[in-house]
Amino acid sequence: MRKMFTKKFWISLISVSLGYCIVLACGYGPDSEFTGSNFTPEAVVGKKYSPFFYSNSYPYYGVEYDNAHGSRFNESNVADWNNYLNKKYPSTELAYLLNEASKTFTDSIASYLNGQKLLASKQKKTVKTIQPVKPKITGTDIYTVDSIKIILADTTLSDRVKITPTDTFKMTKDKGNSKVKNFFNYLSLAKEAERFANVAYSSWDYESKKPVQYEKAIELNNALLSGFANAPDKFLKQRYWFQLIRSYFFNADAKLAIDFFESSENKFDRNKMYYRALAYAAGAYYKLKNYSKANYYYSLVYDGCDELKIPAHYSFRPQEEDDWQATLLLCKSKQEKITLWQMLGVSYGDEKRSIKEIYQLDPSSDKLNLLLARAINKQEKEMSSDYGGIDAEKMMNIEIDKDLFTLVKDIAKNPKANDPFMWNAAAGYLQMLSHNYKQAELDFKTAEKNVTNDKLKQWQLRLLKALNKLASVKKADEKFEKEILADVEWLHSFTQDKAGAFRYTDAFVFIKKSLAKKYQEQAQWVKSECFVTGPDFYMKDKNVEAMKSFIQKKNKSPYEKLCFGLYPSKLEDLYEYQAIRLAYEDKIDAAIAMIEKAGEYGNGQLMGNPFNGHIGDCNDCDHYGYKGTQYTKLSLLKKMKEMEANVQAGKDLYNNTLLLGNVFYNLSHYGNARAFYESVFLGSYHYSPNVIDSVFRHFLTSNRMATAYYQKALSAAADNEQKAKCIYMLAKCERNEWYNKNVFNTNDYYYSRDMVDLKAVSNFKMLQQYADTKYYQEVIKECGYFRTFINKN
Amino acid sequence: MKSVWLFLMLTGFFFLSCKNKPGGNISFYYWKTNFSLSATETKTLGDNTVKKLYVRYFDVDKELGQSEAKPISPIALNDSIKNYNTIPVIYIKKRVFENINSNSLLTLAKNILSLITQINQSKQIKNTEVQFDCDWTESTKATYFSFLRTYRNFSKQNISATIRLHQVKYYERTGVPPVDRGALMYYNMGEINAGNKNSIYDKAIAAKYNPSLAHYPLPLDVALPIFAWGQQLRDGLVVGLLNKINADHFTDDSNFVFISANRLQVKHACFKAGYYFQEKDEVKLEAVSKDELLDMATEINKYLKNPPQTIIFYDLDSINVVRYEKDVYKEILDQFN
Repeated sequence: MRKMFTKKFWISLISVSLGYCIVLACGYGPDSEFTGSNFTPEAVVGKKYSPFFYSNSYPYYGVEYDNAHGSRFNESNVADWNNYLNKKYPSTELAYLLNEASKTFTDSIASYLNGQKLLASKQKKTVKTIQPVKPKITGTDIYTVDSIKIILADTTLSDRVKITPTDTFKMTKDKGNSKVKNFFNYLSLAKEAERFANVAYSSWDYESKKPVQYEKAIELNNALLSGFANAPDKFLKQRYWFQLIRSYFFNADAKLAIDFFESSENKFDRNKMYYRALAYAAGAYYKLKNYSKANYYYSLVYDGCDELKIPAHYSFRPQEEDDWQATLLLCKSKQEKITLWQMLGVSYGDEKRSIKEIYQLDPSSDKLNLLLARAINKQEKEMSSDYGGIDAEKMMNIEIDKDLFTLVKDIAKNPKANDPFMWNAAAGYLQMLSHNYKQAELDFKTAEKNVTNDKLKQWQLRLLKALNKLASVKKADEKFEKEILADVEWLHSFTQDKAGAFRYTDAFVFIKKSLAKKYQEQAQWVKSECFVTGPDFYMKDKNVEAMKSFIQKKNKSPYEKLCFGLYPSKLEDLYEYQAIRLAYEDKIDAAIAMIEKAGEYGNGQLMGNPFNGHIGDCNDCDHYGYKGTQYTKLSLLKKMKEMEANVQAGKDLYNNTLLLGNVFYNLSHYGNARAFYESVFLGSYHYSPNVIDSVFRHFLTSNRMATAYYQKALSAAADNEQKAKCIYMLAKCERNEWYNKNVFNTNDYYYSRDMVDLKAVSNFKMLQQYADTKYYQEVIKECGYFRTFINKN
Repeated sequence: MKSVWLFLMLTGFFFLSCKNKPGGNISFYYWKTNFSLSATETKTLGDNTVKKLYVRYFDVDKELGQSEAKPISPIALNDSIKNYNTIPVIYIKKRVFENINSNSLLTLAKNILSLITQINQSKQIKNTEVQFDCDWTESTKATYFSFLRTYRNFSKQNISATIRLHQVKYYERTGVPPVDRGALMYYNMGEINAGNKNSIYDKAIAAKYNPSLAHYPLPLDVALPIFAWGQQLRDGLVVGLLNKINADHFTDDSNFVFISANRLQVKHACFKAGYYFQEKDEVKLEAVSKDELLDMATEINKYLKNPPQTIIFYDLDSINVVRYEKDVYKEILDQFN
């Protein structure tokens, strides 16, 4: 009862033609498939066709895995039986009996209803007391009414069936209701059939994967046949009919399933149960290698039953052209042929052929819509960037499929074609991609006349029109800004929740990029930066100042307000950035002035002691357990100012210059205070210079100021120990510079200690003159670079 | 989508490997999901006194986004399997060995051994060797090799592994699997594309790899291709592989026209052998001739350190074997003796 398309069904029907491809579906759901498109299929195609929307990566759109073979009819089954039983019993009760209860369990109730005596009353009063005891259920247990109560007392189960622990099934109290008896008698046989038709299997269990050899088929079929013959009503009769066809399919000659189906199908309504039976008849034809008939039946299932659309579509596999032609000849109407052509177009990716065929048969067919949406989405695939989404450059330079273009243009001219909105919107889109902007505008006008009140259609058209405006304009002047303002504001207002299925993100990105490019061409750098931000802008201080002025400008025009809204950063970000740049140029007063305007950024904590100057750099070591003075960006700048004043005054020159050298070293990427530069524009968490944006890399890795102060310290050094220290610090700066020049300014990110040309580090040679100092000995111990230098020289 | 399925198809049916007794034997890979020999296949095995068959038992893969590896399409055996010494071959998708920890490797080894045992028990057969087929790379060699060691410890069986040409030439980088023997996959050496070169065998490409055979540390058996297939081309791109398709399929079919000896153009959209062809598609046919097979054997023999114990042909299928004279297998074997 639970699984109507079972493992065996799939193996027997699908593996035959496709090898082992039983898995049906789609990796990560629709979200991952929304990018790279400006054409929303949901705007023009009915929801029932959504699994067949074009997907870049997976067989079916928006379906992670079609693993619903055992559950796709659970809800409708419950609803059907609920109606049959005149809605007298809780649907939770029915759902449990139909979808969860074992055959033994339901058989016990059936026996009880049929008058058999059951072990009963002794435990009746003790139900509550034994509630905590979970009864051990085996396949051979016979259930009494009380044991049913015990099962229901299980809290887990109670949660699932939403009934209180002391309830029993209400149906069991209604022994006089013949429909209840009919239900349980049917259920007994249906549960029995699950032994072969709904087999759970475990991945690594070989036996469970083998087709079940059901040994009681004759008895079961006889019982089902009897049920069919004696069914008191049409509802039951159809269900027995379905069960028999399925049992014949699994356990008997396939022809028997077909004959039984075809001899009696006219007696039943075209409801879900009918199409489930028809699907097994189709499968039986497939077993007999009568592919034309099998595929014909599958097409009827696909068209008639939405729940079975995916499996019917997946099973639709013409083998030879003759099969296919024969299938077409079996059709009793144009509509049936149209269904077949739609299936072909989707299954085999020949949408254009299917559109032509269907259009000839019936221009007003709504089955055209899916095919057109797929064809457009496939065309859009050519615009995809390597990282997902649409590549704006590719978008306006793709080669349009000429056949598709002609087809869409022709059909768009026919007012009797189904959904003129769709054809004209698509024609306009293709015109725009072909740079025929005026014609695109005309097509969109025609589409607008047919847009109806459908919100998604309206959105789709507005988006395409906005794209066309952008693509066609040469200059983004004031007039154009007024024209596009509302559209950009509209796109900016979307959230994923509001948008739902609407594919707006790529268009928004395209529009922003296009405007940014135009503003660059027009030397309107601030506006350009508002639409697409990039590091180059910040390399010129006049740009930063211009942006600051723009942000602070009062009485912004509506378009300027839009730009301001799109700009992702704030005034404080700019002040902080300027402060950092000034600090690295040793303009400490100016840096302090800027950081003081940067709000909380000045209070950003630095880890470790920025005045440290170690032989070996180890930033983590400096940070770990540091308990000295905690510097912020601002307090460090103030300390530096104080020390520089001392230097100016000639006070303790060696120590002050050495420590300032250390500070500048530590502010660079190589030092322990790189948190100083971590900010909105410069980035953070730079585990290697490679990941610093290339335009900022030079100034963040340079030890220029450190070198200058170390040289001053060397000049002020009083003895060889001090000189040795200064020279070693200068050597570190030289070594870093070697990396900067030879590794981090190239695209080859591989580096190792061995590759450094130590001869280029001139201060290593100088240091050799101080071999008699203690500091030299410490360097020998701690610095592998220097040891290597000594060993090789 | 196509790329996913194309990849599945590609990896799903090439692999190989081998091993046998001194003196050189002929063997075959059996790569269908139901073991049931046709009369032609049985006769081919009899004519070549084949005792040992390399039978694909199942593939192992993991689904996108999932961590647990699962078996794909375990084989169904019939009683005729009992007439042969069976070497189960397990194809494991490379991605199974990506991001896998030692516990999962252990579980995988146990599961594979268990499933092989269950399949054997279904026909009361035993085997003394298992062959693993995995196109491992530098990034997956550690976990794959660890798996092989774990499996051997559990099973106490001999194990062999398929070895691709690039793994022979660059074995210092890709490593040498911890197995008793390797089976040299001497095919699928070219790129699958719309060009005119044969992706199954290209003598020029092979020549770049042949000398490295002399230095490979493992004893090698040799797997040679007898399969044919087609590639479906559209707008200069391969859009599908046409398994078990050869020129015979297209004779007298007016929907196709030969534009060269091994290439056809689709004149009218149509179905053929379960595949659908759009108008203007092209079909590129690939196969290996008897002369090429003999040539392969000669070249391999020049460089291989020791003669192979077994020559394994991929794959045993009536549609393949009828394309060759019946003595071709022995003639190829003779090249190694």
